[in-house]
Amino acid sequence: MTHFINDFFPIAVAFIKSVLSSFLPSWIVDIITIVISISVFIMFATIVVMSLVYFERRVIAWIQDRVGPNRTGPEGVLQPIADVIKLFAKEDIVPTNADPIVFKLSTFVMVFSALLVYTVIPFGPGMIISDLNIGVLYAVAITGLTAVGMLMAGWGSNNKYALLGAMRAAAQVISYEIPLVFSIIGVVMITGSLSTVSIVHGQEAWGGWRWNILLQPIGFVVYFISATAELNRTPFDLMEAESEIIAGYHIEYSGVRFALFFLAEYLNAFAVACLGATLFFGGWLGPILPPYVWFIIKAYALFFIFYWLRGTLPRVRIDQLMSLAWKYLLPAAVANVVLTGVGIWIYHALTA
Amino acid sequence: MLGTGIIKGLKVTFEHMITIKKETVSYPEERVYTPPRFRGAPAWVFAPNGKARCVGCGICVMACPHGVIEMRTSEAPGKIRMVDYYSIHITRCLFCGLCVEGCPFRAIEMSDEFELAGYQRNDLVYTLQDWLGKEDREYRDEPRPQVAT
Repeated sequence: MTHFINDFFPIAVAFIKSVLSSFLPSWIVDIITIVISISVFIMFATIVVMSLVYFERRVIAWIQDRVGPNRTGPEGVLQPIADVIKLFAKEDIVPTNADPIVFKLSTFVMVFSALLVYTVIPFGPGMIISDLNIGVLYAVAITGLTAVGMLMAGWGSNNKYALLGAMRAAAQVISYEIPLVFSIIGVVMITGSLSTVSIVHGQEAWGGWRWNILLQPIGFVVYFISATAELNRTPFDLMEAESEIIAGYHIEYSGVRFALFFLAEYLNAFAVACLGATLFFGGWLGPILPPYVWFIIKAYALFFIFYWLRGTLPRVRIDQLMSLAWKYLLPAAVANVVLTGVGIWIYHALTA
Repeated sequence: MLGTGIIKGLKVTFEHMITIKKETVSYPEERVYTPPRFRGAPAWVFAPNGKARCVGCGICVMACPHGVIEMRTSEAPGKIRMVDYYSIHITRCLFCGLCVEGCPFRAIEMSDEFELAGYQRNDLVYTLQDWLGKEDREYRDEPRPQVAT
């Protein structure tokens, strides 16, 4: 029974496969199972994004001593659904002077780059779409693609605020990519692998509690700050600063396209939280509860810190932003890599 | 030390998050407090014996800068003036309080009524019948203290 609950999703996939293969050729079975898994995943992702939006509004409201949305459904849980219906019912406007191809394509670039990151995220044992042996590198590279989407949106809109936001986005994402990668290197050095599954397995020592956060506290702090900046979340939301450039790169988008931007933003943020849980908090490892539940709990807990920071900190200035990346985070990350190397050398010297 | 300010701020916001007390009010269920000198829609004052204090002198009609108040009177036996019709067109009302200031019998006041929406234009003309038929009509000796006496 425990086995069934813990491995529910791999077992379900195997069951569907066995049923279908009795009367269909194997390549059709493969296609059908892939389509089913992807649809289930996209449904899951949509629900996750809706819950994240709801929690964000409630938590920010609590921090600001307000009540937050509590009318639509019990305690307002249906509020995101109402928002989505509203956005889908709205008119889809393309500005007259916009570049229509770039304008329309940018939403898809954003959403696909956000969805592609989930390829390498292990939700549980066997619950990974593709266990790439360069998983972490792949995730970091794909996250960097969002800058392209933002630039396309900003350029295609033919709007000065959109272009300003896109330029800021490009500068910020490229700057913070570097400390982000350096902060992950420590984890990779300890595990000796870039595969996300091996990184989780590498944290199984000490009875499943040798989480990388204990060995890499500096790495985690640098990772989290650069991830916040990379996701354009407050306090680093310079490119969509409402008070300065209105909404930045997605100023001209309305209706479904705006909904897709919103989806991509939260999917990216949740992907980074998932990656943080995998790299630093032992992924699916945890007692009693099923592994995928542990993973979701950890990812949501990390996401809560995003909410918390958003409710606490004011927006940074552009020069502060750059000096934080280049003068503080990058040296800290490099020092962390050196320290990790020395630590691993001492460990090998002692155990050998 | 670098970063202690951020930790202090995070502590403050966390404390605010877990406190139950909210600064906002869930409006239709909970009503906001209206101060005694709040200027809502003008309304008549009714004495504790159930009678209105208005004598139908018409000073409020003259005091109103927009001609919002409409009054028709008739004479009853014994030289008593009866108010037959009294209405306030609330969409045109400025809430200036000149009617309250002008009333020598302190028979009209600015009430704490601020929900002034209606489905028809006629809903927005407040007549005597609206006040007389009001379920939770208040009976007070003195009007609300909007005007210095």
